[in-house]
This record gives sequence, C-alpha cells and structure tokens, in this order.
Amino acid sequence: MIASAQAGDRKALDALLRRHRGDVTAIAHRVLGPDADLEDVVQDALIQICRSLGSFQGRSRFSTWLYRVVSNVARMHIRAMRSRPRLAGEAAQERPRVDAGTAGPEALSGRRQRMARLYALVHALPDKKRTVLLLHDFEGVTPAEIAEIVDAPVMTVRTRLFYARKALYAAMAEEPSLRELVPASKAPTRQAGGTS
Amino acid sequence: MTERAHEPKVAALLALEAGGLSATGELRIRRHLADCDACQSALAAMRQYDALLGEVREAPIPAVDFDKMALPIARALGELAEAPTPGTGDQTPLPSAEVPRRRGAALGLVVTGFALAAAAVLMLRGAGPGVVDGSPEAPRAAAPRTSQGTAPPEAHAVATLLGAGATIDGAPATLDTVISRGATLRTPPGVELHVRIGGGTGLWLEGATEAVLEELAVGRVRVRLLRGAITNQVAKLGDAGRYEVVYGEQVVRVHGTHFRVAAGAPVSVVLAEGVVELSGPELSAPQRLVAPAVWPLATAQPAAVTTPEAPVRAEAAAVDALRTPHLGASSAAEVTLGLPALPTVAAWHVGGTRAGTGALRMRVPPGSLTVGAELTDGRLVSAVFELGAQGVALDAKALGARLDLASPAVRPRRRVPPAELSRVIRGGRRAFQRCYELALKRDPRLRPQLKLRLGLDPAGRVVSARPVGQAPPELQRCVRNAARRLRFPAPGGDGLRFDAPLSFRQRL
Repeated sequence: MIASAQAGDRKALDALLRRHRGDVTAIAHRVLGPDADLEDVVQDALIQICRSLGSFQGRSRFSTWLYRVVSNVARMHIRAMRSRPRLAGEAAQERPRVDAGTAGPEALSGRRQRMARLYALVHALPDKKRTVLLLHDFEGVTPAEIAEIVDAPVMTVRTRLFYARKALYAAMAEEPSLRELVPASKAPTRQAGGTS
Repeated sequence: MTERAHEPKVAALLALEAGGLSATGELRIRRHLADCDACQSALAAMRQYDALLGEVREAPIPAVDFDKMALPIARALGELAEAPTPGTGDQTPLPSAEVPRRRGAALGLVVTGFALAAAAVLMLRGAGPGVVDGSPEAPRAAAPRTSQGTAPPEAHAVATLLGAGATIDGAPATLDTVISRGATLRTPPGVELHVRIGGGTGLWLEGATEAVLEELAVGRVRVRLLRGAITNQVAKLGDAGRYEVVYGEQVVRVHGTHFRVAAGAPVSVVLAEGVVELSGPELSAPQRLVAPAVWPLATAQPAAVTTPEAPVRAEAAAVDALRTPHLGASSAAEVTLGLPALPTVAAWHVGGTRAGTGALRMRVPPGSLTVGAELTDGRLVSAVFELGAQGVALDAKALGARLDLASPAVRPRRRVPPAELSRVIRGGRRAFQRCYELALKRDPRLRPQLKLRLGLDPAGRVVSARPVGQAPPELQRCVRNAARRLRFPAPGGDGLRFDAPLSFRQRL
C-alpha cells in the first residue's frame, strides 16, 4: 500500500491515511497535551505525511517514520504557539443578567490541572530533550527506535533522556500544584537518627 | 543532621526506584535520603512524574473530525500535482476514482477567475441550446438506477432524505438511489432531498420543489428549476466546467460558492459565499453578486452595480442563516443514520447540519456522532451515538429515550457562573485564533467584531453555535465549527443559551 501511495495511487494514499490517522492523533495528543489544538496539528501532520511520503525508503518501520513526521509537526506547533498573536477572550454573559461570581464546582478537574501543568513543564524543556522524553516516557518508544527517529546514537538518546528527566524533576519539585498527587504511603520520610 | 545542599543523585534515585541497586548501595542511598532535602524532593518529583505518566497513558484520545481535513489535504495534493493558481478558493476533495481524470484534464481555475466556495445554491434560468457533451467527465447516465442498496461512491445519488414522499421520475426516492441525467426530482411540502453529484458537488431540494437535472456530470451540471427552491454546493470547476440553474429564461451560472435560489419573478438569490452571475431578459447586463449578497436588492441601486469592481453586496447577517446541503463524503465506508419524525422536535442538528423536522435519513461516517434536537418547547437536547458498520435506525420510542424527551416538565437547572462559561471559551481561544490568522492571510487589515450565540443541551454540549457580527463568511464558519467542539459544564434543566463576545487582537 505504501509503495502504491508513493507511486501516486490516490486510493492507496487514502487507505494509508485512514489506517494511520488514529495513530497520528494519539501521538499528537500525547505529545501536545490536553489543551492543544489537536485537530490543527493532526491535519498538518497528515498533510506532511502526504508531502513527504516519498522520503520513506523502507529501511525502518513505517511507524518509526510516522513518529518522526508527527513529532516534527508537533515541535513546530509548540514553537509557533509561543509566538502567535493572542486572542482576548472576554467574559461570557449568561442571559438574562451578568453575574460576577467566582468559579464553581465545575472548575477544571484536579486531574486536568495536573496534566496541564505537567505538559507546561515538559514543553519548557529544550527541543531535543523534550522529544526524547515524550517519545520514551509518554509514547513508550524504545531507545533504539527513538535513535532512528531522531537520527542519533542510542547512547545520545539515553543521555538526553536522563538530563530531560533531571530537569523535569527539578521543575516539578518547584511546582506546588503537583505535590498533593503523591500518596502519603509512598512519600519519602525522614528516618530518625542514622549517619551516612 | 545538617542538610547538605547539593545536586540530587538522580541516577542513584532512578536506580533505587527501579530496584537496580545492590543491598549495600540501597542502604547507602537510603541513609543519604534521610538527611538530604534536595534528594528527597527529587525522589518525590520522580514519583509524581510516574503517577502523572499513568494518567497521561490512561487519558482518552479526543475524537477528531477527519472529514473536515479532507479538503485541506486534497488541496495539499493539488499543490503537489499542479502548479498553484491564484484566486482558487476552497476546493472540496475528490473521490479517489476521479483523481486520474482530473489530472488528465489539467483542470485549473474557474474560467472567470472567481474563487470557488464550498457550497452553492443553484438558480435556474431558461436554457439555451443544449450543451455539447464533449467533456471527458461524461455523465454516468447509463448507470442503472437502483432503488436501494449501496450506490458506488462516485455515483450521483441521494445522500439525505428528510421526510417522506420525495420522488425521482415519479418513483419514491430512497437513500442511495442512483440518479441519471434527465431525472425529475420532486418534493412535497416539508420534505427535503439532498443529492450528491460527486466531486464535492451536490444540491438539495427544499419542500414543494420540482427540478429536472438536464445535464449531470461532475464539472458540468444544469438544473432546471420548475418550482420551489434548491440549494447547491459546487466544487472546483475546470476550464470546461459549468454549473447553472435555469428558471424560465433566467440563468444563474455558478462561478463557485454557496447560494440559494427561489423561484419567482424575479428570482430570489441569497449568496453566502463566493460569486454568482445573474442574467435575464429584465437585466440590461449580467448582474454579478459577491458574497454576502441578496437579490433582488432591498433598495434600488443605479445600474444594479454590474461591474466586478463594485459588485452587489449585502450585510453578512442577511445571509447568516443560509444552510448547506449535507452531501456525505462519497465514501463507501459511510453508514446510514435513520431518525424517525417526532412531533416534539422542531429541528435536528446532525454532524454540523441543521435540518428541519421530519423523518431523517442520511449518510454519515461511522464512529461517534452527536445528534441534537431543538424541541418545540424550546429545549435543546442531544445524545452521542456510536455508529458501527450497520449504521443506526432508531424508532420513536428508542430515540425519545436517548434524547430524554420523556418529560417536558421543568427540571432543576444548575446555574453555571459566567466565569465558568468564560473559561471554556478561553479554552477554545487557540482554535478561534487560528481562524483569525487564516482570515488575516486573505485580508491583513481584518478587524472582525464577533460574538458567539451558543445553545447548550443539559449536558453542556454545544448544539447550536452562531457567530453574529461583522466578519467574512469564512471566518464566521471557522469560528462556528470551532465553537461546536467546546464542552461546557452541564447546566441541566433545559439547557442554556448565551452570547459570548469575542475580540481579536494582534500583538503589536
């Protein structure tokens, strides 16, 4: 099917996109997080797949190539988000009167808040470290496959992963909204006495 | 013990958590942890991260509307296969079978150079001599008409039926009925018939309408309107392409877009998108209408503004409510959604289409589909249906239960603070922003003033979204589609209607 699509068979291309669009969506969602403009990124990724399908030479798995395309599109989106004009969202008015009350119990769930904060911290990491972290920890891709995706040695991938986690842990330690997540039974406790 | 400020031993902590340390090493690191806040914080962060990763992996993947992406993807492929041509507007995607023919014909811009919009209402004019059928896209008139079953994706066929009693050449119209050139379509009052011609082109007959498909081929269509009104959607026309509606001796020839034509003397035209040209014996020269536009004009204008530089225009609000036909996606994977007529339903909202009341049958893609209903008592209700390969056909009782129509009695309504509504609106700001940026590419001076008029069902789903204000139709449509994806806190009761002002601001 891939070869046919590369040769210009539109039906084969349509079938290829249909088969993999769910994967593309899942990858984009996990890379970008819950508050992202997912449809835009998925659309851009599918277009990029169409445009660059000719570059897939079959030396790696198609899924590996797909990860590369989608993660590149997502990375561009994250960069673009930082420089876009801002939309001024004004307060909605509930008819028939305006109420200046505070947020009610329907506010964002704690889970959603934690996810949003986590992604904010992850997206603040440098590009290369962030990519490796997302692919490995969020997508479950092996270091060997990540090495193919990012075109780097496996040891480099492992090193980037280590330092990405280290930077993330440091950032999370400063993030009070995430602290309450740790169950009390697992929380590290000081041991009385003892010497090192 | 004094605290030792130092770099957390991340590698050792990772090994500890993974159980990769020897007994001695584990003892050593645990003793260190007892006395080191930095490493304790790092370990806590590690565990937080692991817990959050679990949530990330368990989080459901949001549904994505892939149908909306077909057009941009097709456009991207078109950019690859042909040199980009200026002025080309939105293009609808072609069914797979049509691509080789399109490439062979080297289709380019519409002859007149006007942008083609996604939908067009047809207006008919008295036909002249018959059109020479020399197009490579010959009509599939020879295809046998089937009353039921699955029409080939590329066939001219019935895509949606609302109500009962529509006929094709006197025989009852059913879903997927293949339509031939020369067919006469009739609808009784209150019944709609949507026809897919192919290549993103189609039309729908309103109630009490009769029309003859005098010419029927992708890229060359002529419809003779005998009575009533039809709305048309026209995809990209090539150099030899044409789409026109004839009523008496009046002809509306499509240069591409979304418009409605109603029979009359003169004909009535509402143009929401693109450009159409109107001619007739009572006009001294062809009249060009540029969206948004209505015809006849509310007030007399000198020369009826016939030049391309000063075409007829109207306020956006005048064309705001123009509906689009639901044509399906010409995909063999589509399934059938069947909804019965319910006396308490004033209008259906399905897949972004607002349809009138009556029994509804339409082709939709499988998967999750939100079906909304405006009830006669003013409530808005909706339900999500999972459509498998067999589609869904519900009887009145089952549908009523799913939409919770049982009791019109007043139910407690939970007040939703405006701050919560605002929060959800702000959550959609990226999508709205993207709409604005796309519109800016067409008009860098654009400063739209828009508000969203939203209707929610009791569960907080958006069942109606209407942009109101000054903005190009493309921007309004984009914002409307983005608003439909929002999910609000459940107001309960009979839902909620409210206005949400939007303002767009560029960063200096």
